[in-house]
Amino acid sequence: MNAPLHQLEVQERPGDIVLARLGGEIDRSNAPELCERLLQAARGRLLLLDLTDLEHLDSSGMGMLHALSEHSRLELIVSPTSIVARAIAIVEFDQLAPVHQTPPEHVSDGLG
Amino acid sequence: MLGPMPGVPDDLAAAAALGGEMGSRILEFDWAGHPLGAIEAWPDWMRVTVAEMLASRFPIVLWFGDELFLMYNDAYLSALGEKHPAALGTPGRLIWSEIWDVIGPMLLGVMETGVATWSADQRLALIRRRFAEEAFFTFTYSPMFDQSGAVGGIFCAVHETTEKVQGERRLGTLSALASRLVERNDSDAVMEAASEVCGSNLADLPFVGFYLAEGDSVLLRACTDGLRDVLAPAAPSVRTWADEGAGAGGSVLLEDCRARFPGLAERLVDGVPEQALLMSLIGGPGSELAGWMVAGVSPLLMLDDGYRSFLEMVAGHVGRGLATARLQQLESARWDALVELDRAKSQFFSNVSHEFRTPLTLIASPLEDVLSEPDELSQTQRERLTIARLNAMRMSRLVNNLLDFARLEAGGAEPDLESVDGAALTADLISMFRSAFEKAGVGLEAELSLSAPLVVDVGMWERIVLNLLSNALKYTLEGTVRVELGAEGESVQLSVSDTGVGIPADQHDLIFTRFHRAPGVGRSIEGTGIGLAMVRELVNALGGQISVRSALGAGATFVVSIPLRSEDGSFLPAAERRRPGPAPSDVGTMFVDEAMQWISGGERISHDPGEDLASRRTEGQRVLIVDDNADMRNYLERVLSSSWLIDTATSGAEALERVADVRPDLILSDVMMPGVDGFSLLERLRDDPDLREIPVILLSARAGAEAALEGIEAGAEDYIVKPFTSRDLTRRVRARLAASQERSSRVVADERRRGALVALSKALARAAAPEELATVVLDALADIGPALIVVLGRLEAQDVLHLDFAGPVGASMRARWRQVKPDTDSPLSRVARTQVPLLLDDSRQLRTMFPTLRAEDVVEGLRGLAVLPLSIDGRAEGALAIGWREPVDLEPAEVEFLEEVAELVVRTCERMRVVEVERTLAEKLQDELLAVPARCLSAVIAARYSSSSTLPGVGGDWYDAFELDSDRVGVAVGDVVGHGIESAAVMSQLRSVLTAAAMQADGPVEAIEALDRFARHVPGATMATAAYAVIDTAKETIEYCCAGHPPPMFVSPRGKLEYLQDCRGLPLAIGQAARPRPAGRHAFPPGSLLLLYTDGLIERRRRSLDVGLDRLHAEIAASWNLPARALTSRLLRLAHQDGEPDDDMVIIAARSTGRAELVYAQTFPADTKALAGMRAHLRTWLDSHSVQPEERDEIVLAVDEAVTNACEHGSDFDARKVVTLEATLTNGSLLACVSDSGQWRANAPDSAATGGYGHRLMEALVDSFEIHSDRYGTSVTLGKSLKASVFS
Repeated sequence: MNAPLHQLEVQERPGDIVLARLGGEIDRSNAPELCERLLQAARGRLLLLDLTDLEHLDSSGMGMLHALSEHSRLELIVSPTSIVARAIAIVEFDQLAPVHQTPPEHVSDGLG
Repeated sequence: MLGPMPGVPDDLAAAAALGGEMGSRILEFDWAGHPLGAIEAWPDWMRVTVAEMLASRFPIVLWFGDELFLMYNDAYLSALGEKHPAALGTPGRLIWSEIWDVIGPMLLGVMETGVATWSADQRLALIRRRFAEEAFFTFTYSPMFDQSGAVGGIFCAVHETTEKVQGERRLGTLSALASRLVERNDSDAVMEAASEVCGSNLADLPFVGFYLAEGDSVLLRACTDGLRDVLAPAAPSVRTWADEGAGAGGSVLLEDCRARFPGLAERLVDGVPEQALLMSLIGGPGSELAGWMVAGVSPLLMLDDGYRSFLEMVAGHVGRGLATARLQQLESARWDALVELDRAKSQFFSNVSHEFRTPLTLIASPLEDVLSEPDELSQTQRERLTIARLNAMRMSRLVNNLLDFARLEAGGAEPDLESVDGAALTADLISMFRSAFEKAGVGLEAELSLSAPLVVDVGMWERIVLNLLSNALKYTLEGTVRVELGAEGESVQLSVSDTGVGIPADQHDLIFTRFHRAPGVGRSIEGTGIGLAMVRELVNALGGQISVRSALGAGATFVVSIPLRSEDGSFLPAAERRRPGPAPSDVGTMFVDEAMQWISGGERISHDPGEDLASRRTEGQRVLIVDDNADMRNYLERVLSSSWLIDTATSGAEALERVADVRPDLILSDVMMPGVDGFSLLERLRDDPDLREIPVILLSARAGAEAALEGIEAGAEDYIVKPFTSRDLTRRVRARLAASQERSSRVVADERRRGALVALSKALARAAAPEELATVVLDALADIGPALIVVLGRLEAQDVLHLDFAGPVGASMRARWRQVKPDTDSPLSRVARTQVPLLLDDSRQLRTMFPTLRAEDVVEGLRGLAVLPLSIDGRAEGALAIGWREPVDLEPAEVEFLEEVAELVVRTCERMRVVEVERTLAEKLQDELLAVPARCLSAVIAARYSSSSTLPGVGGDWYDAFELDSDRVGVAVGDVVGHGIESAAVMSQLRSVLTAAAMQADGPVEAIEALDRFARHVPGATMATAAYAVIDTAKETIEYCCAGHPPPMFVSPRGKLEYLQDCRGLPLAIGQAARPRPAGRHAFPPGSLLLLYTDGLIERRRRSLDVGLDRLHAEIAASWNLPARALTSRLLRLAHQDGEPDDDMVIIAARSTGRAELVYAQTFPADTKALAGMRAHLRTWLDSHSVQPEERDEIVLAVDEAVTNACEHGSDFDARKVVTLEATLTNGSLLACVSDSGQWRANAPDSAATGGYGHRLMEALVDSFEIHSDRYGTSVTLGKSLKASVFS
């Protein structure tokens, strides 16, 4: 089982926006490293994190989101019926960062 | 400071700079040319250790490589002495060749095994000042591991304790001498004790010889064992050697011992002294020389100041011991001579008195009897007989006075001092005279203002007072006699003043001399003239003085002054202090009788007008009279028959024959009889258990306190000296009979106390904890004078006195006094500290004695209080207080009883402590034995142990589980007969052997057979049982074998139960070893459950085993699908509810890993990399049950949180540890259990990554969420009822 647990795709968007798409699973084994990479990618800019394809996000992942929100402006895109949305609601992370169901307009431009 | 040196690593350079001389030497040493190699090439571990050593101020020596090359720091230099600096870098065996036989094996052992050594005060003979020298060291050799993990050298921290050890040794010898010599009263004993003490310290005193001067010659009087023939020939030379030296008083160093004492070398094989010190034996400054002591100087010691002064102190002690012994010898010879003289005098007077007294009694007593019957005589007869009686009495007085005086003058009258109420005693004596004064028309005034206790011999005081009163009345024809008693400065003053005829001044000195009689007109001219002389002797014997103020015609005042002694402050039970009061004595009666004669001219006055002998005949009491003199026998019978039934015997022998039949209540026997005399009769009676209670009164003509004492000591109840009056005789017989009745009631009281002690010891044996003991004691006392409270104070570690209360003591007081420091000033802590009992007849004194006590610290209603010390073998253990509602005045027997109670209590405490220590030890052992397997990947294993509540200590039940290889796991359980440490030891052996055998064996039968063979050699293993099973997860089978053990339970993944019966064999270590044991085999698909247990789980008293098995079957059927840990806990709990078990219980469950329809078990290393796989497996399993995706994801997330926590906090991400997950689906709900071997830590502050989110997630995602943590590990159980699944 050496297939990567998560998939990450980062795009620089106009207006100092970084769009990152996360798929797969995030747990204690990959969250710290992923957090590092996203912090470097965002470098204080607005980080738009698309979690639509994410299948598993545990408390380590929540910790990662929390760290990101402290260093960048963070906005999330989450599928409303997913376990990820449920988890974010449970820990009330939606109070800390805007949560969208679809990409907001200013970034969806040009996404095709 | 050293400058930077090329090639020297920084850390070593820094340490060297701090390392003084050795710092420089180590840096400058040519290591490149040394086998250890250049300093810059030293491996890290070596360099670091050398740096540490140099920087340390503790003596450290390092040994490197196979050759054990030395390196050391400055602090170690003193241990090396002159071996430094050559020692640096030199192989250890060359440097320490002289002690290599001791330390070599220790060092090599550490090199080989890596196990450190510890030596405390190790004695070594080192050559560090060119001679082998005794030295002591406390040190440890510990291994230093090199980079490959092999032992590369040895680290030794060493502390020299030579001074301490030698100092203690010498002090021991000196204090032994001081204590052994003090009691010796002849020089032989002193010599013997001295050489014995010296012989116990051969290290400092390899040999000693004591040479005593006897006249012109000198003789060896004592010496070290076995050296007499070597040391004795030197005796004639000793004086010469001493004279050649510094002179008397000093010590002389004798060189070349071998030449002076030929043969010494052959006798002392452990090193021969080259030198000896010759010292004078002198009793003290200015005393004469008694002889000399020669002490060999140990070849292993330098004769330094400390050693030399030790030897001189030994000689000093011995010299003083000799001097004291000589003084005591002289003293005791002088004393013996005095005693002999005194004895001869007493003997003479006793013999004379005997000749007089018997005839006097037989004259006076019949006369008295005749005169007391008024109607039988004519007036003329009466007058004549009265004269005869008066003269008989006078003669008797003369004899008594002469004897008393003679004894006093001989210095033989030792006052028997006691503390009495002087005013009361004196008042009683005065009142005896009152009627005589009234009759004479002389006034009698008394002012008795003495409040301090009077410390006198009561008999002497009586004679002083009575003589003075009698004297005053005799010479006072009219007027008043005045008696005053009071304290005057440091003395007690008694003055007797009269208004009589007075004494001319020139007579004042003479009146106190013997046989002097003052001229003048008194009431009577009779008298021996020894009254005042005797008073003076008596006063002197009491350490006082007497004086007189008088002038002719102006009356006289006699003033007696005796020292006001302070009362002894030591503890005396109140009953002992209160001596029998000053009863009207015979002496008093005699004086008064005499005085009455002067006044009334012979009319006898009874002082006991109410006493009518005939009317006082006591119901049925018998007195046996034993006397060889028929007259005396008849007289006694006549006197006593009016009151008692009388039997007579004419000899001691006859008395012995008759006494068993007669059963007298009292025996009155003469002392002097032919054949069996009074003393022999007494002795034989006392030897006979049947007769020893009969009181005996001895009659004797031998007067004097010694004779009476002899009689009392021989066991007589009383001792009556002839002559005596019939009244006196009757009174004393009556008193003795009453006392014996009282004694028999005391015997009853004693028996009740003994009964109470027996009951108490039984109750104490039943008590379970020291806290209960106070109550036990209070209950036990209820039968014999109930107490109000009992307080037990127990000294425990850390200097704390624990108090337990019984009785009406309020909660706040209990809380305040639950624990106190022993130095608190309270009754219990004081007694616990001083070990001196405290008896208070009234607790109101408490707050005066203990000023820091507050009013509320004294229990309400408490009056009498006894606090007794508790100790074991002289070690203070605490105190026991017993308090009563009434003031108490304890008799000695009662105090003794309480002391026995205290002894029982402290013994019980000790016993409980031992039991407690043993229990703690046993529990620890059991914990060790029952550790849950740390790692097992093919099955989820849970085990539970519960000790018996009824049996003490640890049980004989054990279990084990171990991984045989990646597919196979062994599970075992066993039961050893018996309880306690011993069976724990047996079970630990069986457990280890089974594990070892299992690793080798080809299947469980072989393993059990190996265990059986082993058990035959272990005492205590007979009849032990065991069950052992091997689960093979690859083959999906189980193999098992039982040795007399209850059948294991198998549960299929679908919940089908089955006892595994095919394996029943004999218990261990009985029957034929060779016979093959039956084996069992069963399919064991993934998710199967195996349960092993011990009989405590199923066996109950008076119940068939089948009932227990059925019950267990039912319980497992109802809960088989619980996770293993929850299942074992539940079964144990149910077993406890099924009647209290008599035995301890073990249950171990193993569930094989894998997915089954209803259960799912998984194990994985505590590594986050395992998380994804765990989730995938769990999802698959949940999907196979058509659990809805949302619920599935919620379950997976919650379990993931629990597993992450188990990996992180329970196992610190240590991949060698195992985390287990079990999940079951029943009745539409899911139960998942995650277990690890660590402690639960909720929201650990360092878990930044999870930030406490995990807990919130788990709580929100599942319906129930339980954490159970114990010393074996932590498990989290999640429960969730499912909305829809195939089972709902």
